[in-house]
Amino acid sequence: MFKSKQPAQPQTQQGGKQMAQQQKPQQPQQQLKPIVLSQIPNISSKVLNLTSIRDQSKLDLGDAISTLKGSKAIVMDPKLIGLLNLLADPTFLQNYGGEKRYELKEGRLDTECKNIVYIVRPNIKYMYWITEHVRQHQSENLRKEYSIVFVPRATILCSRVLEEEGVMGNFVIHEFPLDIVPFDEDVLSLELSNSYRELLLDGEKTSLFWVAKSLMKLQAMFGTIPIVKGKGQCSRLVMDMIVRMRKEMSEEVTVPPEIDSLILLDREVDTITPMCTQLTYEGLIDETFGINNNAVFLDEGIVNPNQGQQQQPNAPPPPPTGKKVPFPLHSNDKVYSEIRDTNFSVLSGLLNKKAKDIDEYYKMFKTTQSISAIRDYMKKLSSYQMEHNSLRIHTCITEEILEVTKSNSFMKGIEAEQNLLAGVNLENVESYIEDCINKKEMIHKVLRLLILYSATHNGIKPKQLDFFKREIIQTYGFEHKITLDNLESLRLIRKSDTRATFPNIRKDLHLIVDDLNEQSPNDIAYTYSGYAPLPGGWRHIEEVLRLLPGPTFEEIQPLPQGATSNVKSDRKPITLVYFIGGVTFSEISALRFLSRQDQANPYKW
Amino acid sequence: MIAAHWKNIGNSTYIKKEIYSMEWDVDLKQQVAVAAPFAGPIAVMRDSTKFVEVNSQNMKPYLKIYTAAGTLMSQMIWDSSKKIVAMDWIEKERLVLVLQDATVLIYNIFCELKTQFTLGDVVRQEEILECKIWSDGIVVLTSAAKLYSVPSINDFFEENGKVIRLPQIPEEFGEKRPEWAILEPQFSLTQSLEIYMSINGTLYLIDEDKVEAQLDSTDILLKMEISPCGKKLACFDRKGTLLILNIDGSHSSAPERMDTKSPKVPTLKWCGSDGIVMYWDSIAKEPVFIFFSNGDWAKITLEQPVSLVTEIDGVRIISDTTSEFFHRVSDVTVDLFKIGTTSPSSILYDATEHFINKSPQADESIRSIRDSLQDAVNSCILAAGYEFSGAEQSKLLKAASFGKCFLDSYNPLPFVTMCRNLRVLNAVRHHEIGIPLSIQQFRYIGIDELIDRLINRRKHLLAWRICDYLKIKSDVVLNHWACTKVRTDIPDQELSQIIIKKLESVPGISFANIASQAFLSGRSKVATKLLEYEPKAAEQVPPLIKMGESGMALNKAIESGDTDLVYLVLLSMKRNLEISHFLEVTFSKTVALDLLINMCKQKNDLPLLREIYDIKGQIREMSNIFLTEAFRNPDLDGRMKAYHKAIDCLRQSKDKEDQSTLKNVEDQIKLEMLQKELETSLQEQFEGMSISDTIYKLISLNQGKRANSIKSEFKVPDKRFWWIKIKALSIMCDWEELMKFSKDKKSPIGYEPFVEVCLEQKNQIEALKYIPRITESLPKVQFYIQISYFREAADIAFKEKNVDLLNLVAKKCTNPEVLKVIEQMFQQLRR
Repeated sequence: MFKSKQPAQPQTQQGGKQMAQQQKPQQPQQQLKPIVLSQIPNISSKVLNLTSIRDQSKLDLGDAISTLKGSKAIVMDPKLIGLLNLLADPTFLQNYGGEKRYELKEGRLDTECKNIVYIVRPNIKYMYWITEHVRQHQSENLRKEYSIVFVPRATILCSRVLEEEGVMGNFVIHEFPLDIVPFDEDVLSLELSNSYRELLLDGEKTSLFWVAKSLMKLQAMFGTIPIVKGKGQCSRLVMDMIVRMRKEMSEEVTVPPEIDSLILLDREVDTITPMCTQLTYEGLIDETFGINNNAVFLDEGIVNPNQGQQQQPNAPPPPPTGKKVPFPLHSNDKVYSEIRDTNFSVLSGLLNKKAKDIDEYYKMFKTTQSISAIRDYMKKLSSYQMEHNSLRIHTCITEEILEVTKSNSFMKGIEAEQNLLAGVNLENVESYIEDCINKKEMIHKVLRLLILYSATHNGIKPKQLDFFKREIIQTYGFEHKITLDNLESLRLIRKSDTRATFPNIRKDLHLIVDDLNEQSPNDIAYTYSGYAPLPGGWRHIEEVLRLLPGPTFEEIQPLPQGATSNVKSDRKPITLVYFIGGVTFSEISALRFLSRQDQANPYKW
Repeated sequence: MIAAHWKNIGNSTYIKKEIYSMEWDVDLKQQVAVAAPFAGPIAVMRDSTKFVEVNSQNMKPYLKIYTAAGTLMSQMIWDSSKKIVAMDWIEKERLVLVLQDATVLIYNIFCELKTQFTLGDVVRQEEILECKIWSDGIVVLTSAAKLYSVPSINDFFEENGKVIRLPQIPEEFGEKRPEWAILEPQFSLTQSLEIYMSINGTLYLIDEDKVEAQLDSTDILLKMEISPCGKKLACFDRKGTLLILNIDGSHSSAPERMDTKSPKVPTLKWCGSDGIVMYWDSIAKEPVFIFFSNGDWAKITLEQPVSLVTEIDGVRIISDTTSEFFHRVSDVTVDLFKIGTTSPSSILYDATEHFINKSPQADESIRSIRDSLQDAVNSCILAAGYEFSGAEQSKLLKAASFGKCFLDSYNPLPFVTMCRNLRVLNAVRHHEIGIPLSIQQFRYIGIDELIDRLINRRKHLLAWRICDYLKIKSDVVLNHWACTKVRTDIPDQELSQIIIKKLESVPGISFANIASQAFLSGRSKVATKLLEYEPKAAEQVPPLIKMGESGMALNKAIESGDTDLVYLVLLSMKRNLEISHFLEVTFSKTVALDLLINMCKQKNDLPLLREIYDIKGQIREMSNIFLTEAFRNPDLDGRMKAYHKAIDCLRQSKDKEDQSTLKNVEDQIKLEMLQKELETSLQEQFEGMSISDTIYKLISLNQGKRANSIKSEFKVPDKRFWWIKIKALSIMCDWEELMKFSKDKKSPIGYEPFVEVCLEQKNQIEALKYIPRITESLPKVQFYIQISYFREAADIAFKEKNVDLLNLVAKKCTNPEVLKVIEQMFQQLRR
């Protein structure tokens, strides 16, 4: 446990690398052993040292599992599994006696372990499931010890349910205050996947409380953030909570501020961007395969090519086994970090160049003569081997993505989106949406287009909307009546009413860029091939911001006594961008782009 | 001067010095006095074992609590029908009384009952034979020869205290009571309580799990006592021999012993851990006090009976008239004041006196100890600490200060710290306060504990001044002060003002805690007022709930943004208020109402949800609840019931939107009924399918007629129907039927979809049949390109004289021959 506390030895993070270095370099051209990075990225390199957040959480996790002594079964909330994977690897759990691991499901729980530790979010539904487990074991005369670890804390509602069910006495209750989790050296997340729905549809504001708490935690570690800007009702509430929480604290930590400013943004402020198809490499991986907790699930054949068979140069690739394995996607992968933020249209070119570089390097071996030159060569070899392997996988991914993007239906979809954004050819778009429904394409695609339609044209003509709704219900099933109702009450899909605001915003924020250079971008619009994500347009145009829903504010937080304002004034200013309700990968790419342009380091959620 | 009272015992020097002359009127011949360690208070009661001459003064038995200086702090009349089996002090100066009926009463120094509990019916029935109280627990031996232990009295304050049975005593002891002593958990290897018990000459070690016989052979023991360091056990056997056993595992040396030959059992009390005091109160005319240490002993004369208290560095001797402290004189003090001493510290001390008397000898003396001056200064500082007399302290500190002047670099911290500590100690030793702590005791308990003791004695001003003087946080003192204040009878308005004025700007004050106290004392107005000043919502809300201020609690909870607090208020209101009142309060706050609805949904509390939606007139939401219920139900009848409930809801609405939903539900019912029919007639699964899916499946099953009837029943648009049909036919590879259908009538969706579905099935030949039927040329060309029919593509472009289109073909074309043709076409067009 102590070892894992030292950031200098993150065995799990660099294990792969070290292994590679120890390999005797025999013949570089030989089949490469796959060197697979861990899903847990090394995050200590950038400006803010986020490792401490993860280390603390890891310790807390250890404590949580240790609530019951001895070996135990760990039953995990399915929504937490990926998140916990970002903190610690399976051996960590084993070291704490986590002998067996299960996913929490409704129904029976059969395990030989006498001790059972549940790690769950405080979800009422789970309490009923767990109660069932206890009853099942009791009726089968199995003597078990139970513990529930609530992430991030136990709630009164959960306790009440357990009391009402009469099983409260069976549990040791523990809290694991895991809120904010570093995803990469510049990305952190609370991983509250339902927050948008909860906040805006259900009026359940718990997630805002966690946003505020996480900001307090960050401020305790990196100092009070002097400038806070925000947009939207939720951001306003979070700001008020931070002010209140600071008052509640009798003493404040006096760390000099490392983060210079904070931008709070309600997702609600910009519902257009997430509806558009993401066109960066990372965004497209998300669109086609889905990225969860820094990993994409790919065919096993791609990630671990069979090493036993010497692959013939022209042999057809082995048939896909159908088994999916996770492949990590984060900045520790050098190839990936170079291409993740680029527009897909330039992707093949970049990959080709990279491949040539590596090939050149391998060829160098044949011409290398002197001992010292060979030594130099060997030094770099392992990192080239890593890159080579990663390049191979990314080429495979790119091929699959290109298969999708060059298809007619993909192009038509993009065309429809761009027509909506530009406000032209509405009839074409409408018949395109109708066709999508008729062909029963993914419902998400249809809904995204309808939302985009509503947002860009200030609603859909009532007759047209009624038609779409009827078509959707008849095609996708009556259950989607509720989906549509919810989207309407969120006003994401709506009937057209008063004058449209989007055309103004489009004009004033210059969100549509015509003469775009996707190769060497000069505007963030490259992330959506022409449409600039709205948060990027945040450039002091208060007029326009007022047109968007929700209040705008800018406040200066007084620093606690003793916290000197920044000493190291020569470093780049750091801005924290906090999206309340979710962010897309392409928006992150856009922010990275801005950060390179403005010499400011944004951190985002 | 000091040395005159010293007594040399073995190699060490001891002193018995008077600390206080007692202010009380107590007769220890008839009363028992039990004092708390660390200069604690003294509880005095009539000694029930002694025959008492009844006079007007002691008609009623009293329990009185005095300070160490004999100042009465509190008293209460004791109901003599309650027979006490044990009385002693535990941590935090709480007085524990164990009664014969197994009741345990715990008082504070003001005779206020803080808590009470019972050791259980079993203990009561078995009858307590003997009971011993240690700093946080109780052990009883019953007449049934069983041991019971309370491992933590403190736990009873948190309502989770427990009584456990210890293992069976290994030997029967008959009439002869076993003698035993308790080793407190902090001293034992296992960190749990251990009991040394001597039965018939065998010494046993008993803990929670087991009994072990010890190797030490002894005679039958009549008295045992464990030293405050937990390493030594003093025993007195029936032959009158005193034995000191090492119980810390070091059996190296043979036990020290002393043969007193006394047939009578003395009281044993340790003097620190240095030596043991044997005290007989009535062996002779005068009480006998023998001190034994390291094989040497001394007899000390006492004029009257006393009560003894072991301290960590000595023993307190309390008599009717005085309170004395018997302890080993520290080495630094001995060095300073031993007769004929020439230690550097004593020379420095003398030199200082010479200096004060303006004698030149001072200079000479200092010169003579130049090399060891620093040690001399340190010794004087240390020695000052051991002194109780202010005059002597100041002489020693002056000497240190004088010596310091001759040192080039001297760290002033020890000197300053000592001065501060002594100032605090002198203040609390003052007889009005009556806490005669020695410096070692003070260091052991620490300043926080001392502050606690002062505030428990309600000496808030002194405590506050000490905090101020030592620059430590005074919030504990002020919190306690306020909590005490609310129990007085100052009028509400004034009381709130006093407290708020004093505490408002002090960080770390728990207004919630003070408010709770005020509420408990029946001062709800003050409590509410004070709660407004509590900055922490999490602490503000629960007391407000307890005080019945639901509305305010709800407001504060919402303000905090902590939804868990809001739920806390909601749940308590739901439990305690009339439903109508509860909803009225909740409805006044949107946030609360949303959370309540959310809670109902999660807990599936439909009746309450219905009530809420009824009040809000939200028909749609209610009907959605029923619909969701229906979607989750796998059983058709159940679904139908839920649909009808939704319909009932929706019928009440005039809204157009709801009317169309109503239509949707009716359609859905119709669909599900139809599907059921289809299932019986076709023996295929249709349940859960949408209208489109149903049509698709019917076409796949060659049930074109039925598909058509569904189409017209649900008014499915032609366009969609065509899509569904051609998709189904293409997937079945029923190309003939597809062609027939395409010729049936003019396609409402054009012929591109036909090509598309053929190509999806990778059937170029079929696709080729439909391409010419496409009206627009661009898709035509595109399709030809897609299947590499470049010539055909080029022809179309050429026919249309469309250079752009031809360019497109040229760009994609991979056939060199066709490229040549295209080149010619270009030339022709350019002409």
